[in-house]
Amino acid sequence: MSLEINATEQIIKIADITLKGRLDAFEAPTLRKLCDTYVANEYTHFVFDLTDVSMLDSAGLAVLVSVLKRARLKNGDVRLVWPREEAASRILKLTKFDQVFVSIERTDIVPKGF
Amino acid sequence: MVLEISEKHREIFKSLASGWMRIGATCVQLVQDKEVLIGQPDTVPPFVPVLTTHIHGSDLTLNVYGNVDLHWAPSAEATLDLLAKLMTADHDLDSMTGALVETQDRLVALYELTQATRRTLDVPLLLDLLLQQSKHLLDVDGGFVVLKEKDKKSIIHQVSETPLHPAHMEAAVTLYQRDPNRNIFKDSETLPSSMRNVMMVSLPIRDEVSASVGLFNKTGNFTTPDIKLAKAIAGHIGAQLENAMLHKEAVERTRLETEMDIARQVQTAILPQTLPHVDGLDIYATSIPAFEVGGDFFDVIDRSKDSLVFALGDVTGKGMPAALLMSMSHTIIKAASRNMPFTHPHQVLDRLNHDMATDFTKVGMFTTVMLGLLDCKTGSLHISNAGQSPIYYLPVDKEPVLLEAQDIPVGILDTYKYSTQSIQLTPGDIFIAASDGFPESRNSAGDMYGYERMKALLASKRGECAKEIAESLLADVNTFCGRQPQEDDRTIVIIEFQGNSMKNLHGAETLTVPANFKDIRVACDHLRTLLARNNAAPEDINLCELALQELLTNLVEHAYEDNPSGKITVTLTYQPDQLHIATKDSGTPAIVNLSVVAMPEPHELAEGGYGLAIIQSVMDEVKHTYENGWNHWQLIKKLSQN
Repeated sequence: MSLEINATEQIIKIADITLKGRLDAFEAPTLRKLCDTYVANEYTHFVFDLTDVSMLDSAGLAVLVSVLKRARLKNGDVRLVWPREEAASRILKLTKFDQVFVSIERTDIVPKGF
Repeated sequence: MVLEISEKHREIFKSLASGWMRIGATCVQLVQDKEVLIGQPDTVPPFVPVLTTHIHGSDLTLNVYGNVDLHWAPSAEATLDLLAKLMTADHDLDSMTGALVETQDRLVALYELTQATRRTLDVPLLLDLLLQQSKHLLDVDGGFVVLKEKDKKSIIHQVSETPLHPAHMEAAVTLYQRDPNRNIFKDSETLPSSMRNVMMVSLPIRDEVSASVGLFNKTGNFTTPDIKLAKAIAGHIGAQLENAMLHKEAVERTRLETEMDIARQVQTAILPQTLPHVDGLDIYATSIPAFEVGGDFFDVIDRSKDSLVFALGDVTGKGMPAALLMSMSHTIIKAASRNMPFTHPHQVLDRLNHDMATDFTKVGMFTTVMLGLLDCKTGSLHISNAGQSPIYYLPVDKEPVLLEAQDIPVGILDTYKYSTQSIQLTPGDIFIAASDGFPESRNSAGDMYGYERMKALLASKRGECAKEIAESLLADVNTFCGRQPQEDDRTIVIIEFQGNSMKNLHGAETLTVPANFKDIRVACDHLRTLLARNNAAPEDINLCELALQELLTNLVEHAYEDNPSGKITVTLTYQPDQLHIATKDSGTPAIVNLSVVAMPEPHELAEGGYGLAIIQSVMDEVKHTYENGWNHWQLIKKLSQN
């Protein structure tokens, strides 16, 4: 009996988004719109690099949560590169989202962790 | 009535005459008014008739010559009677036939006239048709129409080979108006010399237009059927003329409306669409144009960091000229305010007046204008007022003052020198410039809204933000006027001076920000600066800023529901051991039970509902009250001691 091979190809689309500055109620809609476009184009995996985010509020957080929800529905996920600033990371701890989002280190152009 | 002798009558007469001759007559004649209508033989005998018979009630006579027995006289009379009756009947028949033919002709002519005028809306052409047809049908030398509209010059139109002097035509109209039941005038003593006779009929147009048609110099005399015909023609053309005149008015009105539309567009286009945000000031300005746009304009120009120029003016007159002059004035003020290194507003007015006086004089217009220059930091306000009213100054703790204009409007005297007056504003003071469209609005009883009523209303709204004051005033004037339409533009500029981060005796700092996500950052920056200046711990600064950001976001989203004109007043009171944050907004009352607010479980991935929970978790005290239309939030954070 000869070897049977069933090979399928799977392409995972990863959106790698680096943010800089204040992610608050004023800026959140811009980010949401961008992510909506990625989701519509079948991106399932998202990396948000928050290293240089100076301030994050609940409106900004809501965008990240919304992306996470939609990614998971398509077997995808979200990774965060943790913010350097306390003013940004504070809310993740307060809302306990540090236990929900998996954080990764920014090491290379292609992020590890998936 | 002259009877015509037809061939038939001649034959009858001949046989009659033959009969008389057989009984001895030598000559028989039928005479009318001494004229021989018919005779047998033709020659008149040189002697008197032996028998003369008259027809009673007519001028016909039968003369019989020769040797005739007179007892035939009654027979002669009877014969003549019969003959006369026959002739009269025949004459009547002939004239009736003639009249019928004539009527037929006239009906056809009238029909043709109707056809010719049906599609014509050209007034002179219609008048021409009317007169040409009348002239033709009535056989006159000429005709004229005099149209007289109330308060306007008469319009005279005539068709004639020998034109009449206008005064002669007016004289005929005057004669007719004096005695409208009479249509025909032929008295040489009353008629102008150029007319032998004239027939006047009126042209039925709208009540406010009196129009008469005159037809003059008929060969022979005008008859009653002529009047009827002229009236019929006039009646028809009159209706058509009315259409034509209404059409002409409609066209003119459309042209005017188009001009008004363009004027309105010009005016709307040059008014500022956004107002500058300046720290320490609450600025609001608006202009509600009337249906027929007046010439109100305003502008608020952020000149540099610390100085603000604002202007409000009203060009006299309406329509395109006013809109253009307004636009030019506005441009000069704007350009001068931006680029001219002036220190006093009268310098700008001098320039405006100098540049524009000739243009204003040319069209007989002028503009009132008030120009203000405010130092946003110190509250030093300079104003120059060229006839603009009303201008109110509402000091924070005193009665409002109506500031009278010191100078004449711009565009009257090109050598005039304008002046500046100065006011030192203190935090809480309000300065209001408005157009007279507010106080001079009237209700249906004709009463004016008035300067005092306006002052009282403004005084009662002193605690509110600039936009609310303006809206209260607009609403109050509308209520006062009821259904009376707005006759003039209503324009207002309100500036509340809060001072740059107004500091009060208790060390509190207050600032008012527009309710949108961008502007609330100003308050957050302010908090960060205040705490950093006082060397608060970075951790405390972050937490307080997060709490304020979350609170203000909630107010924008829920209290004002994205209503961008809402305002939020933030008061920060720093003490070494605590920071007190108080906010005040006039949005939807918050209904919230702070004792049951909980942080959503993160694994549920809720996309909202974190704000209040975050605030509660980072602040030591959170309170909300609602009173007199205001939401008050108070947050306290105990600060860690360095």
